[in-house]
Amino acid sequence: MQLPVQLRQPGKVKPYGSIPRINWRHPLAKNLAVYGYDVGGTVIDLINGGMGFTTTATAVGRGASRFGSGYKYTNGGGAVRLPFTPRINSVAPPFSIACSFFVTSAPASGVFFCLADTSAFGQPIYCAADSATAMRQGFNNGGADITYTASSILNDYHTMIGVGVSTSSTIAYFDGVSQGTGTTDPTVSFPTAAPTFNSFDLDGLSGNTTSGFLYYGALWTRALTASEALQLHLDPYCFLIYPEDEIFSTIVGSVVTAPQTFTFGPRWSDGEFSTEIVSY
Amino acid sequence: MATNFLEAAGTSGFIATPFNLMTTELNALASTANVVSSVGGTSGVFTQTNFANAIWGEVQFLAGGAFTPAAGGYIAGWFLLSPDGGSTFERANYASAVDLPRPPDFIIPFANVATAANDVFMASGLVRLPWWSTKLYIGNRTGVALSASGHVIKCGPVAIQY
Repeated sequence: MQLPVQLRQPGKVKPYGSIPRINWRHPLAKNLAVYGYDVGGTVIDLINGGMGFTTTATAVGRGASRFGSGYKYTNGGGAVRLPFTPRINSVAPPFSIACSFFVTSAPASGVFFCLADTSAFGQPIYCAADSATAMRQGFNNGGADITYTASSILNDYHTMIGVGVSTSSTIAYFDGVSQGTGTTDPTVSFPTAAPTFNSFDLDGLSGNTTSGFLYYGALWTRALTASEALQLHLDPYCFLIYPEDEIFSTIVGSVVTAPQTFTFGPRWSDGEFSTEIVSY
Repeated sequence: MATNFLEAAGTSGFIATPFNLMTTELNALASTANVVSSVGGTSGVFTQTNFANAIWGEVQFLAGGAFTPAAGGYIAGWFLLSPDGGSTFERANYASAVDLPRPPDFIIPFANVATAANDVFMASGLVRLPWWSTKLYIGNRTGVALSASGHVIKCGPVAIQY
């Protein structure tokens, strides 16, 4: 019998610098279609296996932040895209897009993460900002944006989520809290779209005004719930398994020799701290 | 009685002496080029014996001389697994700049600064070592060619104990 116990402290800081894999047993991983994760040196799509590359000859340097190290984007600097995947060649509800970021100066009509096409403003869905306080959750090539005001986004960790609930319903979440809804159909067919960081254009530079870090960009082919949106902000890496996590699962498994005389619930969470104990 | 989980001491922290995964294969490796191990282990094939049956390892790149990686440059490494004990391996004959179609097993990031002989660059985090026989597949994504000689990629097996 093995008894995996995840002991790491949940939170917004990347727990380790190593390359994780998806814990497909975790509810948040259900229908996850793209997960571009910055491992501190490059972005890896942990779902489809592709590795990020710069969209133009303009490179992106690296840096360290208090939420983890990785690509450090600069205003006017390079962008990173992931390889095309047919999983996302038609974006129809239900779907969800999410990214997290830490920026140090105000973006100006810039984008953090999007599904980008080959034209400068052909992007089916995106997480963007017009300034340090004006956020833009884009749907359907800009035809149904939800805009909202936030407190200054500078110098702290933030999460943007856009959800296409149905052909008549969209929701935007910021830091796990709903910021508004829309009614325009977010459906769009985009056979050549690719997940892209810091550009609206998958093979060029447009809207590349991010100054700071983009820790991940993700797409689900389902609608995240309000509670999932909050959990994703509070504990964004809860559905990843790092090699370091498995140290403890192996050791605990070797220690437990007595028959089980107790039963754990599958999961509990009070919002700030969660523990998952699974026996099999 | 409570018992602490500790890092196994080994020698200098390693439970087996760090060994070379790649050496001369890296000589003057062109930018975007890929290469498969052919020297270390047994003609480039490594087994659990090489890894001392360890589950985790620390991987490092030891520079043999000067080259200046581009901003954001890195080396990506995959263990090419063999399902039959070392006869056949995952496909590896990919064109330059083409990655394996799964996440790498480790990456080694570089700063945009010239390297010097004996500079050490660590992989990003702990690396889980393979159960199966394996070769190593390396993609040079530093943005430049590696210099002529002396580069080494090493693996040091580590463990814990209680």
